[in-house]
Amino acid sequence: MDAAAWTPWAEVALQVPLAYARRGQTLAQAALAGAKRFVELRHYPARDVVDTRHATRAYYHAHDGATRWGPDQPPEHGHFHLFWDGPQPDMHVHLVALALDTRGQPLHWFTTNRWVTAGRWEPAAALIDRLPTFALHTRGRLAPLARWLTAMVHLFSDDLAALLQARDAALAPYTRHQRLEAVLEDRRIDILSHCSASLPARLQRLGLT
Amino acid sequence: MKTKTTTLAQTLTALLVSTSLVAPAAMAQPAPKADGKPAASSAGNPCAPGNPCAPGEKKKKKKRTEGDNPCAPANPCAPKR
Repeated sequence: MDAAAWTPWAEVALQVPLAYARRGQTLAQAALAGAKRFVELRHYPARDVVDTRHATRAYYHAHDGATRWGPDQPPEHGHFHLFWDGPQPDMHVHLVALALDTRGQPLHWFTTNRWVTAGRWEPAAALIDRLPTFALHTRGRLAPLARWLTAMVHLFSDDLAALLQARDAALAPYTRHQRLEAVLEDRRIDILSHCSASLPARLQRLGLT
Repeated sequence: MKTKTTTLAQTLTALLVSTSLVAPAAMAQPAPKADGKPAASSAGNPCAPGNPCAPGEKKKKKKRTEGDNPCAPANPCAPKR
């Protein structure tokens, strides 16, 4: 893909947080959807952002943010979980999570073991095939945030493909000794792969800045 | 193309400057438990909810049947059928 193809996604990925910042808000604050209290594990918004047309879903929440990425990394304020919804409530598929710092800057993309989000498990190849169709649209105050998440997925799509492949590769050593089903429910295994979500670094690598 | 690249670079600079001027967001507070003590928040903690990151379920509308008494006091401790 040439640089021009990435440009529309890059514009949205920059302009949405810039518009928030000009109003004195970070993406991390916008993600709280106007909630007065930010409580660990609670979903923001409470019923998630759900796009029935594209069968996608996302929400923001926080837990273990101060320690998740180690002492030499900025603390995580919270993270988005992005899903494809299935035909029934428990048939969702987790695509990826995106961690933000306290100023709303994207920190890390990461994947998790199935027990963390429940739902169906799809191999990396199937998720990568569906990446180009990912879209999350909503109305109201969270519409810009949904556009930003969509743009981020597309802007980082080849990184995400590698991340999903790394996710499956991380499971491989476990599945030599246990059934995949048992590994996917193993509570000792949570984050399976992660990579940088730094926008400046990504834009530079794409030759856009 | 060069103009576009310059614009993106400028937007990125503007974003970095603007973001640095915004106050950092407050970290999440521990979820209160029913007894007022903070709940365990770690997914690795045995007291954490089973699927801490599962999507939220749709709010189910309570169906009223003829036998229900809509004005009866709630009984939160009744076993679920």
